[in-house]
Amino acid sequence: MLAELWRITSFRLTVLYGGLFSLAVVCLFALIYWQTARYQNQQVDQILLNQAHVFSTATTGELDKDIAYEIARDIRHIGFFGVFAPDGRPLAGNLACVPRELVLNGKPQALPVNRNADLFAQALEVRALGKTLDNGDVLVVARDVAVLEQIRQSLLRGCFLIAAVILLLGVLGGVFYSLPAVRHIREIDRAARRIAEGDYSQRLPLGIRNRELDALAQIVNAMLDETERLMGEVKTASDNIAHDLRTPLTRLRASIYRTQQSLEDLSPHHAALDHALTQTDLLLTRFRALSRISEIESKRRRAGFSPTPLEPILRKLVGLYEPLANQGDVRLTLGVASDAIVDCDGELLFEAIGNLLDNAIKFTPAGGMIRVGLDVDEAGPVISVADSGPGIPSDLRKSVLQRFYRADEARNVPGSGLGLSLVDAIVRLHGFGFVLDETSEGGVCARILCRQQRPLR
Amino acid sequence: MNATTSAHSGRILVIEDDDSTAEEIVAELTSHAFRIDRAGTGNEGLALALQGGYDVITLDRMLPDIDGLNVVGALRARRIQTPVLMISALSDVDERVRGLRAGGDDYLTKPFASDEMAARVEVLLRRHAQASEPTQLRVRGLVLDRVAHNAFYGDLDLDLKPTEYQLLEFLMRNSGQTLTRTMIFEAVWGYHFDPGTNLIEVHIAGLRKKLEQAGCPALIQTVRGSGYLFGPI
Repeated sequence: MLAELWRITSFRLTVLYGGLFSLAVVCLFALIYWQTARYQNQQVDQILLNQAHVFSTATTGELDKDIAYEIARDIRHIGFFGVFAPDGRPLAGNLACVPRELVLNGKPQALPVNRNADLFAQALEVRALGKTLDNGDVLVVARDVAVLEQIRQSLLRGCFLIAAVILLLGVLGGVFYSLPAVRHIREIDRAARRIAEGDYSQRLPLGIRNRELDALAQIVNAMLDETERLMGEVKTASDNIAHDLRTPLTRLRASIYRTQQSLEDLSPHHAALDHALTQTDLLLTRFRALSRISEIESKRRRAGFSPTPLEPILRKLVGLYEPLANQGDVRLTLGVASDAIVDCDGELLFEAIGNLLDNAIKFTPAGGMIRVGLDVDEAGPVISVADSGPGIPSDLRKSVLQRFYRADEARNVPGSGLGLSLVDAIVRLHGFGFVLDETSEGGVCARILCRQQRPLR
Repeated sequence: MNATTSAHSGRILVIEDDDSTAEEIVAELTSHAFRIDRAGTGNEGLALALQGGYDVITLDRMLPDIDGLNVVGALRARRIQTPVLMISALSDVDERVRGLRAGGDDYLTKPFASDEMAARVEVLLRRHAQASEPTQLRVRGLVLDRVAHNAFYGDLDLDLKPTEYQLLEFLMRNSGQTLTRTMIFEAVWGYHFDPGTNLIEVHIAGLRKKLEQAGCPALIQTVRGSGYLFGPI
């Protein structure tokens, strides 16, 4: 889901903007803090300089009093004062000793608080000034600048809070704006898959907010309209040819038949007319198969569908095809490992498996065997027809489903090249899977996977 | 076997709006010595059929005025049981079921081979003529027991498998008539697609072999280009 969202440009943009805004907020706060700190320091420094000036110009007697006065006046206890003898002994004020690391140059400076924790009990940051008085004593004036620290902390807290809120709003906004796009893209994906599977009646859906995507989808849809129209024309043309040719062919066959009937029984023309009849029948069979495939392909209803047990169908099929197999010295066996009942058109399924058996019998040499099986895998019942024939090379397995496709090796075997197309059409109508595989002996293993799902059309 | 020599006195009503198809049907049935009346619309056909006197009706499913289904329905509602062969360009199994449910006795899809059509008409004619179906069928010493579902030649049990029995029964019940492969496939296996040439052929061959082994004379004949026929030559 997150990965999917991340692929949406609008989501990435919103998150990026959110991030940039947060960064800007952090910078802004940093600037405010820096400015405030500078101002505050200047203020404190001024106070320190003033006090130092007052104290250093006072006489010794006045100094004690001045310091005591300052201490008394400092009700917030942020001021620290001290006068020390040159040997470091405190003479006046509230400091026990000269703060460590204080440079006695008369300039305000920041004091490392951690080094002087004993002196400034609860202070967080201290600025101080130290100077040597004319009489050799050392004067120290210091001030707790805790206010600055408080400002800094609240600024930092505010800064991070606001940055987080902006980032969160950015992500939420991104999700809000991108979810429809994600959903839209999913729908497009689904439609595109079905189109790729051959359902040209599908169109890419249009979204609500995503104009670029919609524009693209509309272009693709227009292309699909055109493709569907062209394909429809080709299909209609070939269906019409098949249909229109069937009628005159049927009449042709009828007149050949009648001519033959009117011949004397011993007429030498019988053989020639027999041949003509056989060829006409062959043509008619092909056209009939072609019409049948397009009929099944255009079938949208599932009126003939009902829950059907598969085993009786297979038994009937084996009974029907066994004599044909035996005639070619091929053994036909049935292995049923399931009592599956499947929602299907039993008659069409019978026809499909019959075609598979017909193929298997044609291509299995004498002494071979054909195994019809009904098993169950995770996805549902599986009907298989496996033969001991020469098999189909893997690169041809897709081609054999095409109409009229015949492998070079199969040219001398009678047939129309339509059998597997018909099987494919029936399987697709059911929404089942059709797999052409190899048996361990190299023969063909055709499997119909009766997984129960929505059919394509 | 020459079709024109078999004499019928059957009267057939052909209800068909397409002229060339109608001509074809009329030509074929005339050559089988039937007497034919033709109607070009559903109303005309219904009027003729209601007068009665026909042995079989061939009925186009798609007529300009009334749907063929309604024509059959109207006939059956008036208790006219003349056998009806529905002829239709709709080859869908569902359409066949609807046609038969409406009261049609058989269903043939266009385009059809005219000998197939004639064979179906003859079977309908014969079925209608046989008021009651006997429990035993006998032809030249071959006895089909329709209660026990087996067959004997003399005292010899032919030991037929269920399919072989059904095949023989269908052939014997319609003995003397040409039966096409499609008709056999429909009657014995109950499916309505093209079974291919060899499939029925091998089943017939198997049955012939069993009859021959029992010493029965060759009773199943191949009708060139058409199908099979049961009966003494």
